[in-house]
Amino acid sequence: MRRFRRCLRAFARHKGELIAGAGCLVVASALDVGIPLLVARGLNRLEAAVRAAEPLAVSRDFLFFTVGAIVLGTALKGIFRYGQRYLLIGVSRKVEADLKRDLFAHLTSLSPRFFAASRTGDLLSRATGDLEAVRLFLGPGSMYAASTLLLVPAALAAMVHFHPLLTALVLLPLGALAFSMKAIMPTLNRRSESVQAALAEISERAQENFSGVRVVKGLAREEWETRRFASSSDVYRRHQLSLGTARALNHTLLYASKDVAFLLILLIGGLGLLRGSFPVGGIYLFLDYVNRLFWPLIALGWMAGMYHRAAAGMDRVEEIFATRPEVEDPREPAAVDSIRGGVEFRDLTFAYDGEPALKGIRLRAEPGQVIGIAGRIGSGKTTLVSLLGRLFPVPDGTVFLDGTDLNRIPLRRLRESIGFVPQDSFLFSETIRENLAFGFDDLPTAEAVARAAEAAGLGPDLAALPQGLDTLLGERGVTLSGGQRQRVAIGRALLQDPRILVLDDALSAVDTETEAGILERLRRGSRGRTVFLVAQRLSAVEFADRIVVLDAGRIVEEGTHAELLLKEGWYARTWRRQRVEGELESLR
Amino acid sequence: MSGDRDDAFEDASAGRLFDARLVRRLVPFARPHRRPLLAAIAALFGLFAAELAAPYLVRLAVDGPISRGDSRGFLSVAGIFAGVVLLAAALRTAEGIAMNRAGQGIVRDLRVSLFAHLQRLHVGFYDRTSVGRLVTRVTSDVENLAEIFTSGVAMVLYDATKVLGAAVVLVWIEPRLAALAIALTPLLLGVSLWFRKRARFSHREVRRTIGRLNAYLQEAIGGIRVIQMFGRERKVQRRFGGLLQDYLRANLLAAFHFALFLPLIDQAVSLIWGTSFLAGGNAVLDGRLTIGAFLQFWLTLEVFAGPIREIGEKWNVLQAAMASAERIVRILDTEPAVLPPARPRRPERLAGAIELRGVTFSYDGERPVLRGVSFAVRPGETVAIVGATGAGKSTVLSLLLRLYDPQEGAVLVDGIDVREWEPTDLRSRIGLVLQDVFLFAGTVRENLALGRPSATEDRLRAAVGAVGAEEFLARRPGGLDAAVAERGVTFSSGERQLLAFARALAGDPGIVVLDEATANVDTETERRIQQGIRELLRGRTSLVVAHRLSTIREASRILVFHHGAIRESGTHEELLATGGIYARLYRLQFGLAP
Ligand SMILES: Nc1ncnc2c1ncn2[C@@H]1O[C@H](COP(=O)(O)OP(=O)(O)OP(=O)(O)O)[C@@H](O)[C@H]1O
Ligand SMILES: Nc1ncnc2c1ncn2[C@@H]1O[C@H](COP(=O)(O)OP(=O)(O)OP(=O)(O)O)[C@@H](O)[C@H]1O
Ligand SMILES: [Mg+2]
Ligand SMILES: [Mg+2]
Repeated sequence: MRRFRRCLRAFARHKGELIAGAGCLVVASALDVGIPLLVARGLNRLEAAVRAAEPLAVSRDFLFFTVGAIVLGTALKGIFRYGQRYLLIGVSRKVEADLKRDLFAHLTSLSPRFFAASRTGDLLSRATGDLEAVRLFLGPGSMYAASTLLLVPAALAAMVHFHPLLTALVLLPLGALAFSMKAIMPTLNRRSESVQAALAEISERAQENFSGVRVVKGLAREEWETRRFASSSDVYRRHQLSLGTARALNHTLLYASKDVAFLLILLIGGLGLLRGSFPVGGIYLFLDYVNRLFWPLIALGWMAGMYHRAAAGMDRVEEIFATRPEVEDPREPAAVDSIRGGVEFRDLTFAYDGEPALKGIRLRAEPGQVIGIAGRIGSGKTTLVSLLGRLFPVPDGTVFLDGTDLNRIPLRRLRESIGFVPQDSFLFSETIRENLAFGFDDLPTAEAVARAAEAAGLGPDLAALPQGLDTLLGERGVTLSGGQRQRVAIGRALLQDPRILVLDDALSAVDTETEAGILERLRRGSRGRTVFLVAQRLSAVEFADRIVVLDAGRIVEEGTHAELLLKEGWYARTWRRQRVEGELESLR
Repeated sequence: MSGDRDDAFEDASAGRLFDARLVRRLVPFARPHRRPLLAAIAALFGLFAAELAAPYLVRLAVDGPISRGDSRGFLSVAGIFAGVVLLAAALRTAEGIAMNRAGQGIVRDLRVSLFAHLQRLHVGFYDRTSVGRLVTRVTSDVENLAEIFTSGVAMVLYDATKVLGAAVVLVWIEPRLAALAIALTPLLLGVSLWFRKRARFSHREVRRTIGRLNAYLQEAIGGIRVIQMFGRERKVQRRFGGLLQDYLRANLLAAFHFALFLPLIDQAVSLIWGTSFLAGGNAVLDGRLTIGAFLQFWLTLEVFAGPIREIGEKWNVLQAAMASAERIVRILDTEPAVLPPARPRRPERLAGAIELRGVTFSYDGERPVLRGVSFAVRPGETVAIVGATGAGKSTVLSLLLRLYDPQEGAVLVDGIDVREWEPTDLRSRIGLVLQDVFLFAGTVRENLALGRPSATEDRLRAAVGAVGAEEFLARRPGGLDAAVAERGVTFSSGERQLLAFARALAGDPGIVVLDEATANVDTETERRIQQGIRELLRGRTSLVVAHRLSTIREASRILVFHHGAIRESGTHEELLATGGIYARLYRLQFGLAP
């Protein structure tokens, strides 16, 4: 049970309901054992009456009262069963919701590195299927277990009272059942795990295929994908069939043991009846109790399976919880009142895994400065600007904001002061307006939104859309053109009016004219704002106060545009290629 | 969020219990599995006979041997009873195995057909549908649907027979008593059906709320970098918490109905049962009924009431299955908007001529994105498309690949309308780099080859070399077998683009279509690529979209798009000389005086 500690803590929060539910359970179980006793008594009297030992009228009255008591008892039992189920299952639902909420909150605190190493489908199944398995075990599962634990001794006591030998005999098949269940369980569990794994594979296949539909179609891979999907489906079917066979056998075993017990009761009871040593009511009582015991015993078997799934599920969920966020709020936060936007990198070295992606970076940006960042693909530009928002863990004493170590600034404060336009412009499947306002808890005013959209150069596009800002986007924004998506992402960052603005190659999908317009508005609107501008087209960084060139994670060149041109390095070379070739061609 | 659009349909669909049209549509999927299905049904009927026989044997024993004190006679009845029990066990096993075989067979076939059908649907369908929902269709919906043929058959055939059969036996034992018991069944039925209605509602709510919850979860995972960079963790947590609250509320409602239902049913059963006990007991006391017959009546009553008691639950299972079936059939009945031709043309060789004739196209049928676009590309020519963002450049490429069909006009490849080409045949001859790079989780090699026979190891290496991806692949453990995370997030954007580029080249294409294929790539690398692929692409047609004009240096002709129409077209020099849009873009980009 130790692994369920987190759940138990959550259960403890609903103590009142738990206690009330348990009380209902006890009463209902007592009635469960009591009612058959009434019936048995009635039957016995009936039999005795038939053997003509009692006046008819007395028997009739007795019959009437017995039935009345049974119906009333059932009604009473119903009320308590209702209370038990509603309260206990309700609590299990609430606990599930609590766990889900905690899990989601934890997930949002984990770094992108964790998500790169996981598959979305797998995370989803932990948050849904695994938690559901845990709930089934801790909620309905333990509820049935508890009522079994109450029922078994009481019923056994009554049975022993009536016929000790028969009780012992009846317990034999039930014991054999428990024993064989124990033997068959591991096989069942193993097979049902294979089924789960096969299903997970099917859904991951499907998910990737549907997400990458343009590639699949564009490269005519449909048939190939269908073949692969069919083979996954075949595997799934195979596992299901072998699980089904095991289940059917298990089922047979269950029923057979019950039937054997019934047979024994009828045989022994019948012989007793024949000799007049055992009443009809006794037979009934045994049949009824075995029936009642049988289901909980099956349920206990299920519980074993449920426990297995729940334990495995909980372990998988705990695995996520055990993954510590790599980036956390500082323990002793520094006092930051207003952020001015001065940034300094001091000898920053950073590695994703293996070889460092950044090596010994030294860079200073005064508040209000524009820093251009250029360099070859994979040279570390994105990594550098991601670290500014502590998307990945930053070593202590390497990055400073306004002279304060980044690691000592409250995370939310830090991130809210940075407007970030990522290289791949991820949008949510909401309206354009909601996407623009993503950085805000409440929708900002319509004017503010419109202004940001305008600054991002979205004006003409919005005018062409019938629903304008309220256009609903497809997942990841697929229903916009590449450049439109990028500009929504720019507008999203601008709307925050951040102290620091980071544009990570954020104009790559935008035409020159639009780009020039956006840059111009940025320059005008960003006075006093620190800007980090990553760009492949050097004309975009030309106006920067300082430009750094990265290569294989190091700063290899640094200076103003004019200085860099004099250095005759990568920058000058690239500049000339981009610029002079243009001029040459225009002269051609 | 993403779920909203489909919700309306989901609500509308949970209506009917049995829809003959739907079932008829689905029967072909069950037909190949009719043998195990029929075997299972046969076993069920055997089981039914055994269930009715057992109470009868009890009566025989009680009224016969037991009342006479004849132990030998009793033992022989007990022997028959044991035989019946054994038979029932065997039948139950057989039924379980056969039904599972049938069900899983149906699930498998349906799942693959549904997936194959989804592969035929055009991209526009996917623009409108959330991935999470489609995944649900091919996973749990398919399994639900199979219940129509398994539980559904069991319920309709088996349970109905059981109830009727038991009723006949009851009447045979004692008509008046039977009439009394049967007269009370509407009570049970009423409770069961009342519950069904309630439960249906809460079931639907649960489904709807969990669908939204999971879609949001999935989207949040996809956008985790954006969420964190904007410090919006609390906001999305609140949003998730709200959806979770809806989900919890739906579940509590379901728990309420469920908790209420069983006691109510028990109550109804106990009323029927108590009444028969009273009436039966009196009959026994009056001598109208033997104790054995009374016992048989009573045990048979259980056989009779059992299915009625469960009818509500089974009804819901069936109804959920029908709802799933409706969702699935709706997809199966969605005609691919882009249909393969009846008699496709399959030219031996692709020369590589492309022509658009008066093409007008709109995504939503209202707002035209392309208006009367016409141009032609000769085999082997390299043509560039430039223009403002949102002008319709990517759309032209989508039409060439026949991801969508134009409303007016035609797209021709080698003089043949693309609508007459076998779509896969056409597409597999086109090398494509999309504006949004998509890489699959797996290895680099798998991503480059994608199972295409034309992507031989040699071509793969040549492609990797041509785009200059060797260098960064060499830095990763495994080289070509290096792991690729979902969407390739552990590669830098430029690196991802190079991989997509290599993937396009690896298929030995006759036409190359590049949509901003090097937008995130530095000039030096781009130059290297241009040199590297020159040899690979000699004599092949290329259509290149780019904002960066250095990308289109090799183009022999340039088309300038503006608001969905071609505004200028010509060589670089001609366009510069005209002094139009292109000249302006050019000057702006190269910092020349306007
Ligand atoms: N899947 C889609 N569904 C609906 N509308 C779309 C879809 N894709 C693009 N559009 C719209 O069609 C128009 C043209 O888009 P297209 O992607 O062809 O532009 P583009 O010229 O490639 O632009 P960019 O340079 O920004 O990539 C845009 O207004 C866009 O919003
Ligand atoms: N999540 C990650 N896990 C492991 N390695 C990574 C990850 N992200 C990037 N890298 C590697 O780190 C290096 C730097 O990547 P980065 O994304 O910073 O490059 P970049 O300069 O932004 O390139 P580009 O111009 O292509 O966007 C690359 O070699 C890349 O493969
Ligand atoms: Mg980058
Ligand atoms: Mg485009």
